[in-house]
Amino acid sequence: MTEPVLEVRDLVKHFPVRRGLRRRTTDAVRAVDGVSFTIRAGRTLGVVGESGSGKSTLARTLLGIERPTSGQVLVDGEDVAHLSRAGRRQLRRDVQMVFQDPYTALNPRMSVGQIVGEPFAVHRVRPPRGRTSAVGELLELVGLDPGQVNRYPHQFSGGQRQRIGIARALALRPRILVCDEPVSALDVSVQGQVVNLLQDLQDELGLAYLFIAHDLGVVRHVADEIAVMYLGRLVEQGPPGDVYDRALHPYTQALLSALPVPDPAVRLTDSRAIMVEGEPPSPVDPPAGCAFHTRCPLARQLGEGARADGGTGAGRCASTPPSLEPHGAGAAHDGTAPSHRAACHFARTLPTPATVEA
Amino acid sequence: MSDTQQNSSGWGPGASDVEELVPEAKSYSANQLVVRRFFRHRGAIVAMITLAAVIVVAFTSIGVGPIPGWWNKDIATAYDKVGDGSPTWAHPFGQNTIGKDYFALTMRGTQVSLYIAFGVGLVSTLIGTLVGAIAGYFRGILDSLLMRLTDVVIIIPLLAIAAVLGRMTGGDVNLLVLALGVLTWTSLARLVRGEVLSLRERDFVMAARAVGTHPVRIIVRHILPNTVGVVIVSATLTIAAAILLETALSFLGFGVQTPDVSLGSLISEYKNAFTTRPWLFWWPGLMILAIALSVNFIGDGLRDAFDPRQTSTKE
Repeated sequence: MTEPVLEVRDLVKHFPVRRGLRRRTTDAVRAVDGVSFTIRAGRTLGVVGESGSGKSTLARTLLGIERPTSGQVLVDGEDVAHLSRAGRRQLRRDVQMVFQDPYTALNPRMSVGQIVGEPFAVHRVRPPRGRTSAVGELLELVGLDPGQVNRYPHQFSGGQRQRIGIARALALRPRILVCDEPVSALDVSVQGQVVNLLQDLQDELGLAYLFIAHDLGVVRHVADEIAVMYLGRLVEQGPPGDVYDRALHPYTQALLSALPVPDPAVRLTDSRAIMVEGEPPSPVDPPAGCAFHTRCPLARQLGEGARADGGTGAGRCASTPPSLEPHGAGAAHDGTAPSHRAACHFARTLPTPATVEA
Repeated sequence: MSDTQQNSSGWGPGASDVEELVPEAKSYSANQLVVRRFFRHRGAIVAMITLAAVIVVAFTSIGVGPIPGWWNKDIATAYDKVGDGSPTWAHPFGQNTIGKDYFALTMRGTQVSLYIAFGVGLVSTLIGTLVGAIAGYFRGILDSLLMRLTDVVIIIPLLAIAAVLGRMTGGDVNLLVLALGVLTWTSLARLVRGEVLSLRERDFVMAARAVGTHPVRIIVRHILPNTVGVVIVSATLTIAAAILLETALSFLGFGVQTPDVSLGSLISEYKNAFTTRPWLFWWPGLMILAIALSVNFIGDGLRDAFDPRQTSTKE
């Protein structure tokens, strides 16, 4: 088994909320609140979760744009926080990002050649056969015509722009690519092309992907492992087959039941939808215990009385934060394959998963 | 080559990518589009021709410094008076009280006024862009300091402080340009700061930061080029304001000092001649009007060209 190229240990990112004249820190937005995972070379970790669950903050922290409040990010086993100046420069080259909106991700005043070639200029890198040919090769790699280097972003379609963004991210030969919803702003027909391109590039270059999305279908297609995020924490993690077909956490089940089923007969008789009511709680003041218990259908099912007793029953939901622990079939594994883990006190006692395919 | 490339890459039936490509014959860069929209603005074109004509005539007629112009009279010599000094073929703009050629004087005044106006435009644009970019990009305490400084400059009555500084310059035109420049950058600084605040959150700036680009390079390469619209428009309007400010100062006697002249000082000197020898008043007044109007029109045209959503032109 190869060593993990990226390892994140208990990553926390809080944004201070300052109030009043003296700008005292009164509170903190807990954008990312204790996230751990590993990614190996050539593998993809898909991160799903609704808006505001901290996915994008996670991405920005991995890129080094935000400094983590606590926790560690290890690239090739080295702690990013303790890197020297040169090491940090190298890190910039190892971790790159593909953005969600191809219309704001490219500087409208720079030509494609300047955009894709800028990482070389910033890092004073001289590619073997010169910068121009390197840019041409990158464009070819992502399926664009190298003859278009002198064009400007507005002359390209969304899918082509996304390819330009990918070419720029690949310029410095990174080992980890953070894709923050790389296809959600694209037409469905183009989404497939870009996803296929990303997969081909992964095979060719051995890249590790952190693939953030809220489209569960796309994530299932690309990911080797899936992590579900809710309010800055991972609530479920495991191989796609396990997570999709044997979801353990009530939140994951709700997410999956919201997936559109491309079969009218199913939809007409669909009584399996698990409704989660209300908005996510404020990350400034997350609920005590399990962050999801205020909206959790399972906790409601287990009853008010059980929630309040605070002992062995469902009262733990409101008092004790659950930890991410192996459950189900994955529990038998001994760490060689990604185990199926969920942060729910009652993951084992769940009724039959609601999303079994017909 | 282009076709084979697109097809051989074979990402599914992805014709949509290829079809949406703007055909070569109709592709313009963002700047070319701006230029095209500007040239459709008739008022701005007339204004540009007018301004160009004023500049060319002002600088070629009496020449600049040691370089002689095509006009056969200079500003220093008192010529024999023809009649009461009203415009004649020999002196098309007339003569002043002691017989100096008023065309030469007006042209010299136009030169000085234009120099001051463009100089002030340059200085204030440089300061305003710098302050706005730094405040907007770095935010935090630097932003607070620079914006409070801006507020302080804004609340000082412009004409009063300009008069004091103008007096201190002792008639040195370059110092006057500096003095007026450090008083007029405030609105641009605020505009640029606002633009930068929104631009710095764009993904392409994030991408540059992710690569490890130095902040100075990010500002110069990624942010400022995208504020060029605001900057150019504001610079033009500052030039228009500066020419009027210089006129007002010189009229009050705090600007350009004799023996040099500007359009404002000419009007000031001959304000009592308005009823008796009106040409001494009207010619410089007309020049001020022509320059201020055309610069304003050009500014309008540029604003429409850079921001087509706010267009006020028909069609």
